[in-house]
Parts: sequence; C-alpha cells; structure tokens
Amino acid sequence: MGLLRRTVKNEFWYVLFLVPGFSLFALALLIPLGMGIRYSFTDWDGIAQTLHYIGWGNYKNALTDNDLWKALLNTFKYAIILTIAVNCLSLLFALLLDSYLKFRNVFRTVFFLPSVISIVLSGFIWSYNYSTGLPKLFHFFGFENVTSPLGNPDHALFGIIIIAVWQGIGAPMIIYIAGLQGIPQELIESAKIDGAGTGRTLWNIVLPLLAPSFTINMVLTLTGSLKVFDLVFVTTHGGPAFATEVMSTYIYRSSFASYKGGYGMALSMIFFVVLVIVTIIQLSIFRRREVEI
Amino acid sequence: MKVKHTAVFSIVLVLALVFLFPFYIAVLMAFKSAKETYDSFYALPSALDFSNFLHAWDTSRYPTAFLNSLIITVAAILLIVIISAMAGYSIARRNKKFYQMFFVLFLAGMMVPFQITMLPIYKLGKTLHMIDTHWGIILIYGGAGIQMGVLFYTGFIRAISQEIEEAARIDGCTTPGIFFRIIIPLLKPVTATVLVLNALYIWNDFLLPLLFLQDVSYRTIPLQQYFFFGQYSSDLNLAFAYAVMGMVPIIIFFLFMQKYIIKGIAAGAVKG
Amino acid sequence: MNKKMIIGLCLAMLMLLLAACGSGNNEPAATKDTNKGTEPAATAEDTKEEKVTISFMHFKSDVTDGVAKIVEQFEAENPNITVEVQPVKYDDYYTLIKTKLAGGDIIDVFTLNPGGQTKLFADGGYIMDLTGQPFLENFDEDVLKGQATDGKNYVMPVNGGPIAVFYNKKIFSDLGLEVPRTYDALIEAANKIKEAGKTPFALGWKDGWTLGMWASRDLPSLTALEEGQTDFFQKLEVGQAKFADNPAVKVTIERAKKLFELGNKDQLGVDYNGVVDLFSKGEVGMMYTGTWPLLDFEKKNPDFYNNDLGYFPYPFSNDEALNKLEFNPDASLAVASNTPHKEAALKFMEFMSSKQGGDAWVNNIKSLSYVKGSTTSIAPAMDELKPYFDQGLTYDSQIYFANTTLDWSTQFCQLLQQYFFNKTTPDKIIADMDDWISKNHK
Repeated sequence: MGLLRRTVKNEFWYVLFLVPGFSLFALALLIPLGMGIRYSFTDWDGIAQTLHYIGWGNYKNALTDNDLWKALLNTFKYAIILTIAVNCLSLLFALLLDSYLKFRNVFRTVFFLPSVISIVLSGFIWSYNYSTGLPKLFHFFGFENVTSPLGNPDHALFGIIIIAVWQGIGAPMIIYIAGLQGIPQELIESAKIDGAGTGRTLWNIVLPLLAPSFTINMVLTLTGSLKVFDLVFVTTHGGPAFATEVMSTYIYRSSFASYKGGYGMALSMIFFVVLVIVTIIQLSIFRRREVEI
Repeated sequence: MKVKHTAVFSIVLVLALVFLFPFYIAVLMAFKSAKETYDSFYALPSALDFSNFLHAWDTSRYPTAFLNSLIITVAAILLIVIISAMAGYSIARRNKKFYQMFFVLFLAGMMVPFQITMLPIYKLGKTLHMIDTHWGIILIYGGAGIQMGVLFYTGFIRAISQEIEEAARIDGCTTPGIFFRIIIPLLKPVTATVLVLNALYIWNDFLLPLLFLQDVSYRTIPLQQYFFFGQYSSDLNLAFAYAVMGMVPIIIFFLFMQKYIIKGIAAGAVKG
Repeated sequence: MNKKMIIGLCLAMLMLLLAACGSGNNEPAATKDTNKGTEPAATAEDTKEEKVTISFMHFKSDVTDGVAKIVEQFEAENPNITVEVQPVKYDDYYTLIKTKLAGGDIIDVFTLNPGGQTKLFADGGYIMDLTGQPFLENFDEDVLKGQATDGKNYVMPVNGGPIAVFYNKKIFSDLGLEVPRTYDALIEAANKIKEAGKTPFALGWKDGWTLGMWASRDLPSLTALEEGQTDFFQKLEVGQAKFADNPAVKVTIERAKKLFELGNKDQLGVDYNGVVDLFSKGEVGMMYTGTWPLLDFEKKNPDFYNNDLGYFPYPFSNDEALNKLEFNPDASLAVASNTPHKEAALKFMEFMSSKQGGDAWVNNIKSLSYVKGSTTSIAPAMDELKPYFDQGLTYDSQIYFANTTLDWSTQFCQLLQQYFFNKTTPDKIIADMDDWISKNHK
C-alpha cells in the first residue's frame, strides 16, 4: 500500500506529462493505424460503404507479389544511395565552407536555399528542367542527345536522387559545419606541428571527432528517405516501367488507382513492420555509439 | 596558398550557380509569356511583365492561403514544442521500462509515412468533425510533430545535470514547478531547432492539407499551389508565376531568420 | 542572444501577419460589395428562392478558364445559384474524389468517365440515377445507351470527341505522302518521315495517360473488331479469359515498341505539354490524341493551326472498312446521391444539356457537344473528319470494357515501358499480365 502510494506520488506528474503528447500521437497515428489494420483484413475497394472480411488473404497475396519486392528494393536503393550521397556531399561542402572563404555565408545560404521550398515546388521545377531546360542548355553547348533521366528506367531513380540531394543537403551541411567548429583548433594545430599533412589531419583527427554529427545525419536522412513519397509522386508517379516505384507510391497505387484499399492497407502493414525493424537496428547502433562517446 | 584558395573559391562558385539554376528557370518562366517561352527558352523576357503574377493572384486566393498557412504553422509549432518538451522531460528523467517504451513508440512513429494511414486518418477526421477547421489539422500536426520533438528534447534534457533539480526538490519544489521554472528556460536552443524544423515542414506540407482542408477558404499555400498547377497544367508560365509567389514568403522568412535557423539546427544536432 | 532570437522570431511573424492582413483586407471588402449588389434583388423577390451554393468538381483542368466561363453563363442565368468550381488534374482526380466521397463529403455535381469509373460510383451508391429526367431528351437515344450503366443513366453526356491522329500537312505534301488508311500505310508513312530526317510521332509518354490513351484503344479495337472477342474484357475480369488467349495483345505490344522507335527522342521524359509544343513547331509528322490541344496549337502557332494542321482516324486495322473514326465521351456529369441541393444541381444539369450549354462547351473549350444539333466545325483541322460524322462512320472502343472496373491499362503500360528498354519480352509481359489479373479479378 505504501509502495503503491509512493509510486503514484512519484510517477503521477511524469505520467501526466506524457498524456497530451500521447493522446495526440494516438489521434494522428495509432488509431488510424489500428483502423488500417482492420481494413487490411477486408477486400475493401476504398469506396464501398460496407466491409467484408477475408482473413489473411491480402497478406498471402502480398508475399507472392513481385511488385512488392521490387518496390522494397527500390525504396532501399533510393534510401541508401541518397543517404550516402547527401552525407558525402554535405561533408564536402562543410569542409569547403569551413575554410576562410570569401562570402562563405552567402554560399552557405545558397546551398541551404533549396531546403526551404516545398517538395511539390521542387519536383515541379525539376521535372520541367529535366525535360526542357537542361536539354536546351546542353543543346546550346552542342550536346544534342541529352534526354531527361526521368524518361529512362535505368536513370530515373538517379534523376530523383539528384533532386533529393539538391534539396536535402542544407541541414546536414549545417550540422557538419557546427561539428567542425566544435573541434578544438589546438588539436589541429598540434597535429600540424607534428608534421601531419592536411589529408592525415582530416582522416585521423577531424573525421573521428565528427562522429556525433555523422550519426545524427545518417539517422535523419535515412529515416526521411525511406518514407519518400511526394517527390516520386510529383515527378514520375513511380514510372517509367516501375523503375522509381517505392513502397509509399506502390501502396498509394494499390489503394487508389487499382481500387484495392484492403490490399493497400496490408502492404502498408508489411512496410510498417520493415520500418520498425530498421528503427530498432538504428536505435541499437545509436545507443552503442552513445556509450562509446 | 593563394592559388589553392582561388581554386576552392571557383569550385564553390560553380556549385552555387548549379544550385541556383532551377530558381533562375522558375523566375524566368514566371516573367515570360507562353509565346516568348515557345520562341526562345533561355532569352530574357522582352519586358518586366507582371501579367502572369496578376493573373495568378486573381485566380488563386493567395492572401487567404497565406493567412491559413501562417495560422496553422504558428499554432502547430507552439503545440508541438509544449507537448514534446513535457513528454521528453518524463522520458529523460525516468529511466524505467514504462517510459522507454513510449520513447521507442514515438521513434517508431517517425517511420510511419502519412501515406500509409491516409484513408483511415481522413475517415477519423470526418467522424470527429476535424475537416475544414484549423484546429483539426493543428492537432494532427501536433501528434505527428511530437515524434521528432521527443527525440530532440529527450536527448537534450538527458544532458542537463540533475543537480539543480534535486536541490529544488529538496527545497519542496514540485515536478511541474521544476519543469516550468528550471527546465523550460534551459531548453531554448533545442526549442529553436524544433521550431525551425517543424515550421519548414508544416509550411511546406501538402498531403495533410489535401485531406483536411478541402474548402477553398481553408487551403494553405502548397495545397493551393498543387491545385493551381493542376488547373493550369497547360499554362506553365502561369504555374511558375504562382510557384514563385509561393516560395517568396518562406525564402524571405529564411533570409531574415537564417542566423537563428542555422544556429538552431546546429545546436539541436550537436546537443541532441 | 536567445532573447534576441525570440524577439526576432516574433517580429518576423508579426511582420508577415501584418503583410497578410494588409492584403487580406481587400477580400472581405470585395465579397461585401458583391453581397450588396445582389442583396436588394434577393430581398425584392423576398423569400421566393433562397440562395444556394453547389460544388462542381471536374477533371478538365487543361481548360480551366474555359470551364469557368461556361459556369459563369449558368450563374448569369440562375442568379440564385452560386457554383463553386474545383478543377483537378486528371491523374489526381479519381483518387481525390474517391477519398472525399468515402469520407462522407458532398460534392453536388462532378465529372465522370462513363463506363468502369461510373459503374464503380454507381455500385457504391454515390451517384443519383438520372434515368427519365427530362433534360436527357436533349441527347440521342444511342448516346444515352452508350453511356448507360447496367441499363440505367447515372451520368449525363456532356462533351466528347474523336481520338485520332493530327498530322502536319506540310511534311506530308513535301514528302508526297497520302493520308494513311491502313495500319501498314501508317507505319510506311512514318518510316518515310524518319528517312527524311523528321520525327514521325510526337509521344508525350511521361504523362501516364498518354500511352494509356493509345493502348486502351488499340487493344480493345483489335480484340473486339479484328479478333471478334467482344466480351474479352468482361471475361478477363471474372477469370474466364486470359491475355495469353488473345492474339491481339502481342500485336499491340509490338506496335507500342514500333511507335516508341518512331517517336521523338526522350519519349518517356517529355510530357503532353512538351509534345504539344514540339508538334506546333511543325517538326513532327503525327500526333495521336483528342481535340484537347487545339486551343494550344492556335495560341502557339496560329499559322500552322489554320493551314497545315490535319486530322485523320487512327487506322488500327489493315482492313480499311474497320477503320472508322474513334469517338469517345469525355466528361460526363453525375449528381451526388446525397446532395442537399438536388434542385439546384438538376438545374445545372439542365443548363448543360440545353442548346446554350452545349454551344458553351463548343465555343469555350473547342470540344464537341453531345447536345442534339451542336456544330462539329470547331477547328479547320476538324473539317477533314466531317465525312465520317455525316456518314455515321464512328465507333467507340471503350464500350468493350465499359462494364468492367479492372484497371489493366496502367499495369500494361508500365510493362510496355520495360519492353521499350528491352527489359522484358512480349511473352513475359503477357505472363505478367495474366499473373497480375489473377490476383485482381473479383
């Protein structure tokens, strides 16, 4: 009894603090997810007003669905390439801007600028540039056969990744710059005195000390890119020839274009499980690092 | 040394021009007529012609959309800050399974794209009469924003020493008292990050407004943009004029607030 | 520092807010004015009729301004009814409207494609049965029959048009080419255009619907008229037929590849607008599409539009007698079954079915109207098709899958795109399609 009272007294406020956040989280996510799970066991076409349960049918179909595996593969291909590209480039930009460069604040602004506009906008501008603007520009320089990467299944995913890099480099770059500024200047100075070249200093001192920035950038970019929807939807709708079909667009297409709300929900649940696994892996890496540091 | 500096400068300059190129095209298109674009793509417009902008302004309810975006963004980010700071505090200070479970739950929530729950969330919104209201979408943003908010606040609060709190507790201060008087003032850097990241996200989001704000008088800028691009799918110059109008406010906001935005991102990342 | 930041933030917000209010003020004032304008009239008639607002959602977003003008005419005729028009791009249209209706939203009047889409909404109980409404008498019996779903009229025909091949008369006469009347002649002409260093076909296949438009007409035409399998798609849906059993499928697949090879470069990277541009520049021989780009052709290159633009029926067969003119409904109108403004919505339908309404579609968006007695001469190029209209040599390939809801065309087109880049074979496409259908039929 005393223990219970003490627990209640100790925990009361802490639990209360969780209530508003958790209620909204439930409203925005848990309840809809629950409803979605229910739909995933029906053959709902997305429009009918009654539900008809069909058990695990949707899930059985999904596991033998080649398009699902293709979409998963594309999603991870996109996410991994983008995460690596964004991290390498933003680190490079950060290193370039960290030196005593003229107008470096202006440049930093320029590189951050694409991040502030909406994806709808950047997708709209870029698909127009790819199909019309850039071929015309190359034509001017004498290259005749430049075509839009989005029109070729071999290049389409990379075309989208370029847009995502253009738009996604701002924040990671800032985080790396901050990380660089956090490195004590004396360390670098003393390394130089010891005769280490720029490359060695970078490799042995700067990069290891950037590990926390690296971790956060990896997590943020990977999380964001696995969920990609808007950009693919605005630029290619998953085409050509399924080359850019990612999970989100595939779910969307199944649920709406093919009138398979129930099946789409089953796909969503499978994707959700995959994402949870990725989160757990990330979290364990994240935790281990935290201990190391 | 000087040669090296010039080389770096040139590289960065070229990169910057590449980054600005799409913006240049957008502005160019916005000022030209369909005929001018058709005749010559890269030529500058023959005159500084605002007629695309005027036409877009007349047909797009820009001021209403702007006001909607502003109300929703400001209210939602304030809500997110309050609820995530509270939840983050609980999780950071109670190292028990029960609280950690919530942390993992919130973090897992970050992995759920809205697209997955798009149809159920809309049905729910309809049942609770949240469609075509400001408060409905603000609450949903609250529930979505708390996920990243908690990640940032938990990390930040964990790094704050507990000594002051323990001293205050001995002095008879209650938990809410400690939170509001001691913790909140310490949270400014991470709050700036959460504010900035969510402001950019909410201002630019379009899927949720598409579901929740169907009435023309409630639409936000990206939604109105989206409809506008669809409506004028064959009049690209007009669409680009609206695109430019849509990005001007957020770019101005960014240019004015740049210093704080950048500080916010950096501070949150390093300490979080 | 932090205080400064917060002050800065607040100032910026305040500034934006003020800017917004400054411009926002104009609007309430403007609406007040219009209210003043109509109020006396309303009070004069007293409570005779209340002012109602109906919502009208449509997918003719390539001609937004034109549709707005048509609606304005209606509003001028019916001062008590305000129409809130919402144009949505075709690729997003059905998703949006389905989400809205499934969530219980009301859209009083909206456009639908007769056939599969209409059936879906009718089966779901979302649209009103219009059978027997007096305004349907303004349409030919055949037209009504063609757009009926399970024998009932859920949608009212509005506009329609040929889907045919625009061609550049100058290129044709320079090369001494005749208008092709068979499929082989079409390809032969295309090859000659290519040999002459010009582009034979304008393909804006970045937009999904453009390739879909061709594939979902070529295949049903061949299947029903050449192969005689008129109920193929109905059987397909219930699992009684397979793509593998239909020889037409392979033909369509090879034709798609042929078109791709004879198309402009970057076939899947350029969109519909892009090829409209390309075609109006006079660099391309032919373009398969409906009458929609006429307005743009006229705007972009009036000289070409008036003198060099021709239009001929797409010859899907090598049997000249089969090659009639494809004529399809475009937007048809449906009324929501749960509309609280039934009277106003029906008035809107009545207007659209009147002579005036029909003419409004013809004049404002250069489309053909189904209203009896409407003109067909909407553009110089259209006059070439007049003999087909006069002799009734038109057909509608869409009726062969009108009673099905299976969306095979999207899947089929994605597989075709793989074949363009040699990532699959025709046999594999057919196998994949049958596999896909077996998972999707009811």
